Amino acid sequence: MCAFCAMLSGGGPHWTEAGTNAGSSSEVEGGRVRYLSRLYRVGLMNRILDYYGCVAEDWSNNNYIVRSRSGQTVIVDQLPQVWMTVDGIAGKQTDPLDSGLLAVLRQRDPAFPS
Amino acid sequence: MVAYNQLIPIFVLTGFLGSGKTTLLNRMLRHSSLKDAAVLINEFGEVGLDHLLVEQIDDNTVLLEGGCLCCTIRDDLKETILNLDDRRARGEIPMYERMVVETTGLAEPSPILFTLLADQTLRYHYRLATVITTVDAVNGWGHLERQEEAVKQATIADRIVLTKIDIAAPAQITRLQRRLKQLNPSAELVTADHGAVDIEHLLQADLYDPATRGKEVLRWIETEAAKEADSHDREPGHDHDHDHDPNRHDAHIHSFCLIYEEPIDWTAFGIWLTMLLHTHGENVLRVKGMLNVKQVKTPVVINGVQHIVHPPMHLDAWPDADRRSRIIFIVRDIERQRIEESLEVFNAIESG
Repeated sequence: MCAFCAMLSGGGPHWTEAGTNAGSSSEVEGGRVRYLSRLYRVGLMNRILDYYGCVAEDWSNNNYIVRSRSGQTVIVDQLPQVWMTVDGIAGKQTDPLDSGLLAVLRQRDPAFPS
Repeated sequence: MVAYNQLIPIFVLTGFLGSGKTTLLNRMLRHSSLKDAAVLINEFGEVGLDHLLVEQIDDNTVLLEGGCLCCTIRDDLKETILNLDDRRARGEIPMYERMVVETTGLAEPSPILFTLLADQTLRYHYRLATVITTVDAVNGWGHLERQEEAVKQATIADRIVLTKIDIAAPAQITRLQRRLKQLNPSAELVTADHGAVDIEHLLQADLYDPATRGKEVLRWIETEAAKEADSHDREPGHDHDHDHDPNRHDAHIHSFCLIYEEPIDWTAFGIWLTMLLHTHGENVLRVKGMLNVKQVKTPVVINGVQHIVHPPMHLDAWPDADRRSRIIFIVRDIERQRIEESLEVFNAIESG
């Protein structure tokens, strides 16, 4: 993964945050709606980051703070940078196809009783 | 900010050396809808272009440190477009409402798409429209066998124009068409009979044009549904000609369509896709689909090329009675089951 995928697109909201209709409408959610959706995103991200020994939190409705268990802290703008950061501070490549990660996620979800 | 579909559309014309790109470009430029287009070419070739506004792009590629090839910024392309934009604003050149970028035959086309979609300045004024790839019916098979660039050009295409069909044998054409359909089932195959192509169709069927996008998305899905019926085609390296050479450039590439009954959680999907592209982006050549997203009444269209994802958008209505999410993947060396299972798990996770 290249760092610049995320960095160069910093001039506007990342597609994951621009709303589901960013290709047809310039309306971007703001204020409380944005806050709540970021909070929800961070909650989901933390389910995954836990596997890598990291945790994320929202910072000012604009950035993410990513922390490792050893206390390393990095502030990033967008979701792709979260994965890049975790690769660095966790010392393990994040991979959604990793069977270990999927097994852990399954264990805690009612949709996949263990 | 201007709505995405009101930005100036840029059509990318690519294709291997000698595949008839410039001939097609010449025909395109004679069409009334491109009279007001700016045209960017990599080199002034043997075929002269009789058009008002033709600019040459100098070769100045910036390979970003630590970046993969698809995330390369074509600084030359960016500067040429911004320069045109500036001259247009100052009234030094005529106004243009469309742009065509012709790549070199040996170009790896992803950096061009990446530049158009990711550059902060460009994306406020321009948007990527359709990628048109020319494939020579006589030599195209050989190019796909030997040249990775030719495979990439075919997999990123929205339209594939099969050229030189008047000098190719019918069996040769059918075999190539089948191969191209396997490589990129979501691209429309158009044949150029003695150079004659429906240019209007080529240019108008743009995903971000509200008048055509519903039909365009339905075409992706229908094509893939037809292919699903012949599942043998989907296995990597398998085709009807039973050509199993593992050294073939497209032998490791295969496509499939994932279908989900349950509505998709958009946030979980974003997390999943960014993570997938982060780790496997170089091998995820295309992701296209129509999603039934929780709390969204109409389908959400997604469209990605390697690490690059177009802004998502809603269709005005479901194009057919089927309300399931359908996502087409073109991947290299990744098993369908791994992607299917992973997305299913991510879609079910709950906030921690």
